[in-house]
Amino acid sequence: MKLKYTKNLILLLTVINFSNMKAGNPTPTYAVSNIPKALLLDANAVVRTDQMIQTIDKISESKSHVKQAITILNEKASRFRFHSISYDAYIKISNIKANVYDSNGELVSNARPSIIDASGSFDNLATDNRFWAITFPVRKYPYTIEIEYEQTNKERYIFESWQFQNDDDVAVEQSGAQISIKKGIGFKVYEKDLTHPCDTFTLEDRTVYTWQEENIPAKKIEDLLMISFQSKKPTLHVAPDEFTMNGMNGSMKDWGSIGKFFYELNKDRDNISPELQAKLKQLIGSTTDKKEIIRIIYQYLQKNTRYVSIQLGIGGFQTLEASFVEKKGFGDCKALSNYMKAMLKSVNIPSYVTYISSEKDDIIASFPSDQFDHVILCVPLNQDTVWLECTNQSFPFNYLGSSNGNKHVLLLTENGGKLVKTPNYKSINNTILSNFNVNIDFIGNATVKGTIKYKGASYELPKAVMISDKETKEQYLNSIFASPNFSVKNLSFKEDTRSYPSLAINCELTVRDYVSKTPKRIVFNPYLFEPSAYMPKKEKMDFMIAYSQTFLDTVTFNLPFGYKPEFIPAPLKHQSQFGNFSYDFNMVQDKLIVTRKFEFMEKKFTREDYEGCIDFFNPLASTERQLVVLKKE
Amino acid sequence: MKTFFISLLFMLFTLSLSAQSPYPFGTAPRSDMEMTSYPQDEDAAAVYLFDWGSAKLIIGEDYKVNVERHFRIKILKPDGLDYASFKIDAGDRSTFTKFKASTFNLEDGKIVESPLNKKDIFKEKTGNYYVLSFAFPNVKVGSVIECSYTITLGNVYSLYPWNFQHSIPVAYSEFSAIFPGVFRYKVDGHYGNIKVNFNRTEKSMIIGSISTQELNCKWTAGNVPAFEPEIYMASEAELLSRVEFELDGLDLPGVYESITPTYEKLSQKLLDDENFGGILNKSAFLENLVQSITSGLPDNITKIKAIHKYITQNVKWNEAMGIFSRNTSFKTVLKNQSGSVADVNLLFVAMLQKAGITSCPVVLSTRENGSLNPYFAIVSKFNYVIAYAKVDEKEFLMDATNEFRPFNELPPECLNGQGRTIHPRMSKWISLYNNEQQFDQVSVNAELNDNNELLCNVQRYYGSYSAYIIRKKIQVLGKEGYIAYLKNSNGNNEYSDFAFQNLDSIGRSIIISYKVKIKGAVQTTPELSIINPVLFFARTENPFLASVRKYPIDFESPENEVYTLTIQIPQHYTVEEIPSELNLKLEKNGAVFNYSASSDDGSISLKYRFARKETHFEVDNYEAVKEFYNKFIKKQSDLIILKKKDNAVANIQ
Repeated sequence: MKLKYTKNLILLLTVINFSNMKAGNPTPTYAVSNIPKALLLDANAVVRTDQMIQTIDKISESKSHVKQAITILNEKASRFRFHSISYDAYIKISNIKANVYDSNGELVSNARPSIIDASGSFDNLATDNRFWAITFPVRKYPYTIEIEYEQTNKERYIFESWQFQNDDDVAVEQSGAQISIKKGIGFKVYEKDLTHPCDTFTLEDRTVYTWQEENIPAKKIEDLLMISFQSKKPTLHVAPDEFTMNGMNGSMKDWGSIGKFFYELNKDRDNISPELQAKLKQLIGSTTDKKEIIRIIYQYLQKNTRYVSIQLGIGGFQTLEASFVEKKGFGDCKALSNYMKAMLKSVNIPSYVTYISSEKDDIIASFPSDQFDHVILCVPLNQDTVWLECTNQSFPFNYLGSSNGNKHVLLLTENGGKLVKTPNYKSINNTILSNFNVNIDFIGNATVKGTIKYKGASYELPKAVMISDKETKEQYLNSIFASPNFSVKNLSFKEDTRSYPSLAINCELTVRDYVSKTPKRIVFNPYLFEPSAYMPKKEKMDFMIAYSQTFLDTVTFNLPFGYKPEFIPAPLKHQSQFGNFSYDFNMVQDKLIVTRKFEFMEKKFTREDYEGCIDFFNPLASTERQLVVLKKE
Repeated sequence: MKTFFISLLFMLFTLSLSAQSPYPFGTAPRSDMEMTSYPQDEDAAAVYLFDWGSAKLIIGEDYKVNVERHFRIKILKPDGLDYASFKIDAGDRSTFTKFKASTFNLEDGKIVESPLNKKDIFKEKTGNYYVLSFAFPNVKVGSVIECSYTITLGNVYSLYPWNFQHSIPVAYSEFSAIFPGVFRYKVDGHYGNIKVNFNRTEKSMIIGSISTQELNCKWTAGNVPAFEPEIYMASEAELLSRVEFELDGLDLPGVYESITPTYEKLSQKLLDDENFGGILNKSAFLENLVQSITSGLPDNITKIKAIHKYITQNVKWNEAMGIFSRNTSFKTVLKNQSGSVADVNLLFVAMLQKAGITSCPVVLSTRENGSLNPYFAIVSKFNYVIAYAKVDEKEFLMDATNEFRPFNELPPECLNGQGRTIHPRMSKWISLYNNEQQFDQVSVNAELNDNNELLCNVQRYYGSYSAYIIRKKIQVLGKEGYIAYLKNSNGNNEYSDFAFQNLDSIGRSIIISYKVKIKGAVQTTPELSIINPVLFFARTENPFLASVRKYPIDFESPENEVYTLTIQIPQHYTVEEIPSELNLKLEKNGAVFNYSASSDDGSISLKYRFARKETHFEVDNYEAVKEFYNKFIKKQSDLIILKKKDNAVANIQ
């Protein structure tokens, strides 16, 4: 779709006018009935418009105008009632407008959203991190919220990267960005899976680039077990060749230059007090093993500091001094990593502050730019590397968490930036071993007793549950076990972090009506855990087995007295490129022993393999639903 | 809200009692600093060590309430850190008069204090009202946070509401209300199952030329458990243990000035108000409109339906609540084509009256807002108004805010006990209920084919509230979207031949029919076929799993569900086992469940009915309700077992 501009419209571009972004279309009204029905499927909200128009006249300054309107369809998208626009000494936000429209698209004049200028800091932190908090009032769904504002960036990045669709459960009617950039200012662009090519319009002194996408549906392809569906997501990144920040000049031409800039910006802020140095020496004692020393100091960090969220990219990219963290006991990710670095420096162990992206997907390694939003620490040793997540008080030593694994990260070294990859926790030694005893009485109720041992990345979820409240623990058990109606008699968690992340859950449950009884028979499903979902026969897409994992279960059913087995499912074995599984059912005296082994390997597949994957998984899902039939003697 | 207040001339008051926090600031004992869990509730993430408040009515040139608060909270678990920030409603005040807040931590055996700086209190302004918020510094598990503040608020009518309960336990709660005896307050105490102690002391005082008593009313409660929501319960407004006030009147020498009315006098008060009775009376101009809508219609019911339809289609409810109109004439409402619930339903009443139908408004409090005090009227508690009509001895309660509800269906929010009719001669209580319920009937005709798949013809009837939900869904998704949504919810089945009836006939039940081929319904062994007859319509989870229930069970409305199934069995099967009959009953037929199955040559019939008439069950009945639900949900997973006939086994490979 070619966008046409007349001379008049160009002049109007400097006076913001969104309705002309798509010439020929009338300004969309926000009536819910105007939303194309296809976008409503599986969506909890629909972005009606999401536009940014940016003007760049010099590398140290840019002006943007932003307008967003979202129709919230139901409670599940109520988070869109809350909106925050961050700013600091280098960013100015003005002309904030916020409006509410009812389901007919009419402006609700007496529904005032509250707009508060709030501090993003805690504890008397004299920083400039602030944000505008916009809270929309509660109304019956569906209704539409609209935000419009202007932003001026000075001495800050002048680029924007544009996500056409930010949330999987939100459809997008219209989303786009426009950059009007003066000639002579160099920048680069990364585009992927766009349905419309960039519209370029050259004027005397500048060029105007426009990207626009529309009618992107919500993605309700829920990932199943370990299968993660890869849908095409329109992506746009823009980065300047040169930039100015905090009065310093930098270049984005390669990762080395980018790393060099941030290293310079953050150096010499890593000094701790003599008291702390003495304390660390005392904790280390006579230990000489470097890894052990790092572990001791890391544990000290975890016990004595806490994480306070301040997004990277706000308020300059400069870390707080290590002395600040020492005194106050908290910091954001860059301050805590820097503090850890300072402590290691005091015992002569060098380390690198490392930039990482916490998004689900890895950064685009071929596009040097600032795609990072989080900071960790890398400690290179002779034989291997220790990686530390300094914001997490409960992670085991040398473990970043699976979401930080297998990613390209930027080490800030004195010789400039170095792009390396973090370990892939999803592909090593991930096991879940379960061992259970199920006693079925003649009434049909059962007691289930046993342990589940998690090793590797699979330990993360139960670990988070372990430090949560009772309700979260019960919900977790509900998600593991197939029976919906059980009560917990005993539940305990035990963590072992010495060698490798691992955790064991011990539980005892009583389940009412575990079996179905007919006058002559007892029928039950011998699969204790939540059965796998069937793979949907939807349109084929690229997919991947998201992580390597081995499941090994042994469940022993003690059958009730007076019954003998009439039917036991047949064992099943299957090996394929997607993984291997085997099911065994064995009668030993009056016990039925069900053993299952699944093995999957992390791997990417294309849509051609989709049918084959269905043929592998669906028989598995069917087997998990098979029944055991016992007959009265 | 319209004020009933009369202005009074009083001279300056004399010094009098004031309450004081029983605990000096910053004196948390060692044992509290070292506490690692709260003995009365081991799971508590945090606990109020004490929660103290006092509200003192001050008379000067103006009437103000001087509120003092002092509380101390112990953080016990990581989740408890969420309790270290506060938002305080400050009315038209933009600052606290006095403020002190600190975090206390035990470090190396010493108690270390981190005070909160007053400049870190944030003001949020919405319209003319402020909300002040602040977060405690240096908080970790084990910290004790403490805050005391004084603020002067303006609402003399309601003094200051006090919650004994919060979402964390409260070891000790104390509240004092201090005011001159001439001010007579209605005290609405919702204590729930918390034991609250009350004490009243008096001290003489002089106001202007009047000698009176100053009252100090004190409420205390100890070991107050955390308020934890349970499934199917009334709203927090209803159940949270609290005390609220409303100014009844002024007890002056020789005369009692009533400020807010009794239920009996409420009718007249509202009818005298220009935003209630006033707007109802200015309805002469509606004559023509009503005529044009109802002329030629045969009876009153049809006329009511026509007027209801007119309003739902021409006046959009803007979701504003309250019993008073914002206008003084319906002309504005009709011109704007939108209005609050009062605008919409008072207009409805006015038009019904013009059509010669006996009608009057009914004021009520919605479920979310809590129930009305049966003894005295708290005017600010009414937040919704509906229309009453009587035709030939039949009474109807009606609401014109929603085009997808028939005229005699109230929204579930309104099904909250009783409302009050507003009528010059005969105001009374009326039960807020027509015959609203959830009504869902499924009828399945199925055939088992040679591939062990069930081919089903499904007919589903939705009535009352169930029909409303469907109509709303289809309004948003469209018929095609609704079909897609159904298909997605059972991905492995194949659907076809959808038909919809009565979607647009608002008063009638909706019928949706379709064909579906179900693959996973039948499990086979070499000799048997096992079928779950309730297919994917079965409930699987008992909502009442907790072993202990704290609050009464409260459903919005009654429920009616019927399921009938007929399965044709292929010739090479015999019926080996069918589920037995089951009849369950909760006391006084609060709920019934009847299930029966039978088999005939080549076919099996199965039917069950679940009817829950009762919407409220006391805590004493919990075990019985839990057991009833257990049994009837379990019954829905009973199986049909078919056996292959011997000669057939040899033929089928």
